[in-house]
Amino acid sequence: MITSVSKNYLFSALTFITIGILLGNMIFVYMGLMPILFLLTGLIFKTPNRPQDIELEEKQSYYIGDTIEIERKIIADQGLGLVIYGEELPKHFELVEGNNISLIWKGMNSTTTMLRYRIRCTKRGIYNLKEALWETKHSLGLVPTQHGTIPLNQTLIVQTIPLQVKKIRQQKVFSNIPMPSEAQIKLGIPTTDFTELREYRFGDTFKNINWKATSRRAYTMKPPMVNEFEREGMKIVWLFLNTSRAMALGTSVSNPLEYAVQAVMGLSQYYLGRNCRVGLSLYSDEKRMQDYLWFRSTSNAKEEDYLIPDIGKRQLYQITNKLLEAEINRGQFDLTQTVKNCRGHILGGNPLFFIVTCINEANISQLERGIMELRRYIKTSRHHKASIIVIHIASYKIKANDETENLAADILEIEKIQLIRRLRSKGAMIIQWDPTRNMFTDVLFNQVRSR
Amino acid sequence: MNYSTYLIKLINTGICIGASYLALQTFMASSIMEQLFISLTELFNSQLNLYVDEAVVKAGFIFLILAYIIYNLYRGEAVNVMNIYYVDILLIIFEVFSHSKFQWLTIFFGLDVYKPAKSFTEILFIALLIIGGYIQLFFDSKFRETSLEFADRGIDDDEISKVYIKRSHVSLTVIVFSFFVIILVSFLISAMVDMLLPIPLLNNMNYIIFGIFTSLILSTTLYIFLKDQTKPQEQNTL
Repeated sequence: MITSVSKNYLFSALTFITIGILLGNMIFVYMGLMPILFLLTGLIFKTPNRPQDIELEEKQSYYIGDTIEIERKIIADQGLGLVIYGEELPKHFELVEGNNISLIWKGMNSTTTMLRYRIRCTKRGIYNLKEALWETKHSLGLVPTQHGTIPLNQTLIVQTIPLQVKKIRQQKVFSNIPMPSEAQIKLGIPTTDFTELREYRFGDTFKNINWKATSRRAYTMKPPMVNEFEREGMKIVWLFLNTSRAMALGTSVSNPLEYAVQAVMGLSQYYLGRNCRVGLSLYSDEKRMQDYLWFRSTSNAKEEDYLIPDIGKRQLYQITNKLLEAEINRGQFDLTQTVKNCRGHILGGNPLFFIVTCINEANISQLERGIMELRRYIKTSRHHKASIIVIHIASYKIKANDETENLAADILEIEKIQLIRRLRSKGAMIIQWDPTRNMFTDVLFNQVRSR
Repeated sequence: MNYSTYLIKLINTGICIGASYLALQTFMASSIMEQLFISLTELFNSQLNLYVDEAVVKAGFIFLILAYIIYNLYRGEAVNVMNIYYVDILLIIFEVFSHSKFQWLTIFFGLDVYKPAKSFTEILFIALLIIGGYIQLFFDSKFRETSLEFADRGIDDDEISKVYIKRSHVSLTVIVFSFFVIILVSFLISAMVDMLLPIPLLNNMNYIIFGIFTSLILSTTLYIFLKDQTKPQEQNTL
C-alpha cells in the first residue's frame, strides 16, 4: 500500500514517460524515470516497527497537588523513519514539565529515547493510564502511517490531603468535638469515660463498686452498684455525604463536593484514630426511591450507597476508595431513604451522625425530614451532647472570584441563617465551614476551648 | 515562525533560486524564445504602435518571470514554492521539446520552431536537477503540513527540526543516488545505441528497446497503483 505522495510521484513519472514516448524524447523519459527510481529506492527502507520496552514507574499512590514524574524508555530497533510516542493524560491532570508526546527519528541503528514529563494531580480519584499511543511514519512518507497502542495498565490513585489533627497536650483544654455517646457492644477495653451506674454482676471488679450509691440503698438488700465505663473502639459514627448538584458549584477542581470529601476524609481519620466504628453513606437531595424502582432493584443500590461501620485501617482504605469514586449524583437516594436503607446497622448503636452538605432552600425540607428520621435512632443523652451534626459548606464563597462576588456570597450566606435555625430547632448542631477562609482542621479546633 | 519552518523555507528558497536560474538561463537560450520575442516585438510595434526594442521586450518578460518568482518566494507557503517549480518546468520544457525525434508541429503544421540550443547532456543534467528539486520541494511541502500537525499535537519545535534535517538527509541522498543512476543509465543506453547503430536491422531499434523498457515500468507502476487501490487507507490516531 502506498500514500498520496507516492501516487503523485507515479503520476508525474507516467506523464513524463508518456510525453517522452509520444515525442520520441529521451529527456522526458529520463525525467519520468527520476521519480520512479526515487520511489523504488525509498521503498527499500521499511517503516519502523512499534516501539519496545516501555518501562513503568512503581509508585502509584499520590495526594492532590503532588507532582508525579513519569519516565519511559522507548526503544525503536527496526526500520527507518519517524516514531511518535504519546500518552494521553488522564482527566484532571496538569502537565507541569516536559512533554507527554515525543517525536523520535529512527536512523539505521537502534534508537533509545527517554520520555520524561511531570504531571500534577488536581482532583482526587482513581485514574488509569491504560495504554500509550504510537505512530510510525516512513522516512520519505511513501508508505501509510502505522499506528497502534501499547498497554500500560498503570493506575494512579490520587487521594485527598489527610487531615492533620494533632493531639492536644495541654491538660487544661479539652476538645469539644463530640464523641458518640454510647457503645453498641459491651465488650472491649473499658475507658475512663463514665457511662452509667448499674447493679453488680458476677465477674465485676470490686474497684468499680460505687460505694456511695451502694450505701444509699443498703437497707433494701439489693446488690451493690458499680460504675460502668464506655468500652474502647465500639462507638459508632455515621457520615452522610451529600452528592447532589448543589455541591457542584464552582470548578471541577474547587467545588463544595471536593471540600466535603476532604471533610469526610478528615472526620473518618479522626474517629477511626480514636477506635470508633465509622460508616459512610452517600446521598443526593435530588434522588427519590421511586425514580429507580422502574429499572433496578433497590438491594443493589443499597450496597453501592454505603459502607457499614467498621474499625481500623481497612475501613479507612474502604472509605478512601469510596470517596475517590464520589461524584455528583453518586448517591442514589435522598437522606431519609438513605437512613432507612442503613437502618439495620444503626439500630441500637446510638451513633453520632455527621451530615456534610450545603444547606439551601431546595434541600432544607429534605434535611429536616432526614434529621427527624435520624432522631428516631438516638437515645437522649444525659449531658445533652449533640448527636446530629450538620457541616454546612459555604458554597457561594467558593465560587466568588473578587470582592464584589465575595460580598454577594456573604449576603447569600446570611440569608441561610434562617434555614440553619430551622435545622437547629430540630436538634442538630450546625458547623459552618468556609473553605476559602479556614482549613477544616481550624473549624474543628474552633470546637476546642479551655475548661 | 518556528525554527523548523524557517529551516524548511530557507532550503526551499535555495532550491527555488537555483532551479529558477537554470530554467531561465535555458529558456533564454532556447530557439522558441527567439521566435516568441520577435513575434511580441512585432505585435507591440505594429498592432499597439508602442515602438519598443526587442531587448526591452526580453527584459520585460524576464522581469515578469522574476516578479512572479519573488512574489511566490515572499509568500513562502508550500503552494507558492510549488508554483515556482511549475514555472521552472514550463521554462525548460521548450528546450527539452527541441530534442524530440518526432516534431509533430513540423509534421502537421510545417512549423520548425524547435532547434536545440544546448546539448542533449546539458539539458538532461538541467532537467534532472530540476526534477530532483521538484521531488525535494514536494517532499518538503508535505513535511511542512506534517510539522504543523506535530506542532498542533504539542511536539517540541526542536524535535521537529531535528527530524526534518535527518529526514532531508535521507531524501537528498535518495535523490542524488537516483540522479547519478539515471545519468549512468543514459550514458549506458547511448553507448548501447552507438554499438547497435552499425547493424542495419537494429538501426531504429533504440525506440523499441525503450518502448519495452518503458512499458515494463508503466505496467509495474500501474500494477502497484491498482493493487494499492484495493486496500483501505488507515487513519491517524495520535
